[in-house]
Amino acid sequence: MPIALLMPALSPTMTEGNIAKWLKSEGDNIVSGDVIAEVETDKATMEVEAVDEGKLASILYPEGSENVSVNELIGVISLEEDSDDDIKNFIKNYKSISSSDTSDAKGIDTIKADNNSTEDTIKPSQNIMEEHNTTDIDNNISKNKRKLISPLARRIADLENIDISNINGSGPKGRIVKKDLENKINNVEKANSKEKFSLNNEVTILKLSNIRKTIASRLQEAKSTVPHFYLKGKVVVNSLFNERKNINSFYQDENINLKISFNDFFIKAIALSLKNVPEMNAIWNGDGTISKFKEVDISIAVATEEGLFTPIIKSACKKSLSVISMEMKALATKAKEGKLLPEDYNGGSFSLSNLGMYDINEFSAIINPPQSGIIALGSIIEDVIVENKEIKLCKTVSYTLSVDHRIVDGATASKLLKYFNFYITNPTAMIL
Amino acid sequence: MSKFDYDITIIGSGPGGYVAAIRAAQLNKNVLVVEKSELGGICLNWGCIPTKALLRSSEILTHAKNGKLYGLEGNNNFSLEEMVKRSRKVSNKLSSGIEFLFKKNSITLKKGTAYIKEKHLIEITNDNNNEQIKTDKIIIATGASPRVLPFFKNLKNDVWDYKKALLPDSLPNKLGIVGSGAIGLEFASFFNSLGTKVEVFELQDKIAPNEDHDISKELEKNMSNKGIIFHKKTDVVKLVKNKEYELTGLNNSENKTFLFDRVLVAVGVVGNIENLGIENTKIKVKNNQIITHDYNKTDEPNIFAIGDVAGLPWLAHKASHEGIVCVEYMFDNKKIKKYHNNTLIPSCIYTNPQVASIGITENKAKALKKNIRIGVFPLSANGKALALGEPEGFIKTIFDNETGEILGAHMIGAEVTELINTFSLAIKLEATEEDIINTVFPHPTLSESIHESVLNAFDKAIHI
Repeated sequence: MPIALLMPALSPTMTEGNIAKWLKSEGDNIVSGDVIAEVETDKATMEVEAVDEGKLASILYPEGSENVSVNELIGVISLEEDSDDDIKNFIKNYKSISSSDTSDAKGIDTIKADNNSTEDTIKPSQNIMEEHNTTDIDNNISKNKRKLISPLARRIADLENIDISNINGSGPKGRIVKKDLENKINNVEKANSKEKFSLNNEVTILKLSNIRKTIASRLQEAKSTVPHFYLKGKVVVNSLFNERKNINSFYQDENINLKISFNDFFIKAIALSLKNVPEMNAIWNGDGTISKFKEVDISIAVATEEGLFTPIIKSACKKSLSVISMEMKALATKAKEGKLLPEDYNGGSFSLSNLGMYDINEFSAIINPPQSGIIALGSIIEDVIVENKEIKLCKTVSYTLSVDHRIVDGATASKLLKYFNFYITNPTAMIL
Repeated sequence: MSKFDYDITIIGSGPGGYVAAIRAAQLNKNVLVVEKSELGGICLNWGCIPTKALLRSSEILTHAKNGKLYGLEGNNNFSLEEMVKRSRKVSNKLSSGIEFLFKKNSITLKKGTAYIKEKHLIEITNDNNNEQIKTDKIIIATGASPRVLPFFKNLKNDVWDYKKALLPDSLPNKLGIVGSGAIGLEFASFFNSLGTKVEVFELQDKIAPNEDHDISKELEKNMSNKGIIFHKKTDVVKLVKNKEYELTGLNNSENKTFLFDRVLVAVGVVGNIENLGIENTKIKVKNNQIITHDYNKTDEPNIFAIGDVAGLPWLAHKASHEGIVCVEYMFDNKKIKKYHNNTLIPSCIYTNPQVASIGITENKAKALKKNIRIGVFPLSANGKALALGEPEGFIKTIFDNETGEILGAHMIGAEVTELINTFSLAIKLEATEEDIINTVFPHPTLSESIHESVLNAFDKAIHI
């Protein structure tokens, strides 16, 4: 009896994915643990592993297929006893299956057909959504889910280069009609009229990747719904600068392949500060409650060509600088290769963003909801500081703390910065 | 127990009111209709239906007169009285059909005039009764009455309106018609084919002023050939009745007087808003029309207005459509979408030849600075039209050059009122030229001209 390969739900927010690559072709034998395909989700590109053995009999969504719904049949694995007709019937009779449990992120979901079933329909153990009838499946099986659209709207969308995948039609049964495109056309026209002001300026219109779409919608939501307030400060990092130098030259002398970055210090320092101000180690639930955490998990902003990722250093205040450093390096590499797993980035109560390496003196960051805040760090600069009525030349870092005012007030947030200042100016206190 | 006697009360049982009533009843509402006169309103009793019955008589008469062309022999006697009798029979039959539909749908009918005392309270008065009812929602579907202009105010009981023209006591020798809209032209066509000398006065520089200029021109040519005289750009300034009617028209700052034994004035209608109690509500009125918003809402939240009383176009099918839209908005809110509300209304004139149109005219498209393609196909190149012996007219189609959107369709010729639906549907479904081009039209039919007109717009016509 053939086995269904379904689009897996690789993260809690994933509703659809793109087939980035098939690593097996039709006819290939598959052993449990083989990587069958790569799926691009809203967060990352992930490998999907086989949990069953057999032959990849049929691929229903070719490489490059976009916006395939979670739990949609994407391929079929056949067993020795299955004939070609069995496979055909299996696909024909396959009813769209949706599992209510989307947290299963461990490889491709597989559904075995009921061996004893003599009926046409296949009854997997999961819930069956009676959304599609067999004819729908027949029509849709080899292409993206069908979008109802009038011929005129289709042509306008083609002419104006409008992406219809996210448009909800206002016509009967959700059919997209001309009116639904009017806003988009106006936008395009505006863009075109801008173009006319700067002659010879060629415009390229780019389709957003899933990752870019997610960043766009999350940050849009964050900036427009979270009441941010900002606290700015500056801290002298002379001792930290020297300590780091000493530690790294020690590693070098001992031939240990490790280099602690300023950022690793900042992570450790903010983690310890959060431990001391537990009010801020919290998230906004949006249902009238706030969750406070025992462990301090910190999201770190990592820039990649695909976009911004925020992998997490878990229990950061318990970890030594060297462990933080090694973990951070591994996570950054994974992020750049698009291989972060959901457990690498799900959660966290607070974020850290550092643009020091880009020679930015200071900046304000947008909170990553539902977190309580984010600290934005600038470059280390030579600065003139007045201390005990004396003018001194120091190394300093400017920072801005963005806080969700719903979770805490200015006084509490100031306390966090007081601790942060203390740990940065007295790095040895971090080993306490 | 509800605090209201009825979920909805509909004032007027014309094509707006009775359709709205049936739809509300289908949605299990307790419905009351108040009608002061005949069920079915003007449309069934004094408008669309009886005029079409009369025009059918004149059409058959015309065919009979042309009988020799078709190989027939015989005399062409007719009786105006019998024609009118038949048209009344048709109206009565339909009117009693509505009575049946009301019974079937358990709709309460009260005869009398309705007066809105408060937004939920209506007083119904008739000869022997006076009662008050409480209602949740109200639809005003009271229709419209012929517009009276100053020049014939004193003669308004003598001059014909459409109602009087439907019940002629004798055939006029010379009939003057003021206004070349659908009503004026249809009566011109009817009396002309019965032998009356007809002259039509129109203020604008073309007849059937709402139609595409090519249609107006073709219609004028055809009707003139049948002996009807048109006075365009002529403002009727004076009407006096002595032995005959003396009608004075002002054209090019020159007054000219014409003599008629009958005069029909058809210069539009005004909404029936008098004695309705509108002043007891928040409803706003402008130029004798009730101002309405999306879903035919008035400014009083529980009161809606549909059909002629809510403004142009004065067409029965527009009233029916609005009736359904507003009832579904009230009681079936989950399903209704703006899409429902956004529908083009086709228009038909039952002259000989007929006129039918939907969408915008060529001039309007140009005024809107649209980049257009136009297709025209003459019925003289259509086999069925030739077989019918009615090769007059053409089908004109207007497309957006870039998107292929159907912007307008304008038809003149035999049975075109039955053809326009192809475009109503195509526009509603947002078809492009490609969809029509790839449709197979049956042969031999007049509808093939639709195909050819669209093909012609894209330089692909086969038969011209």
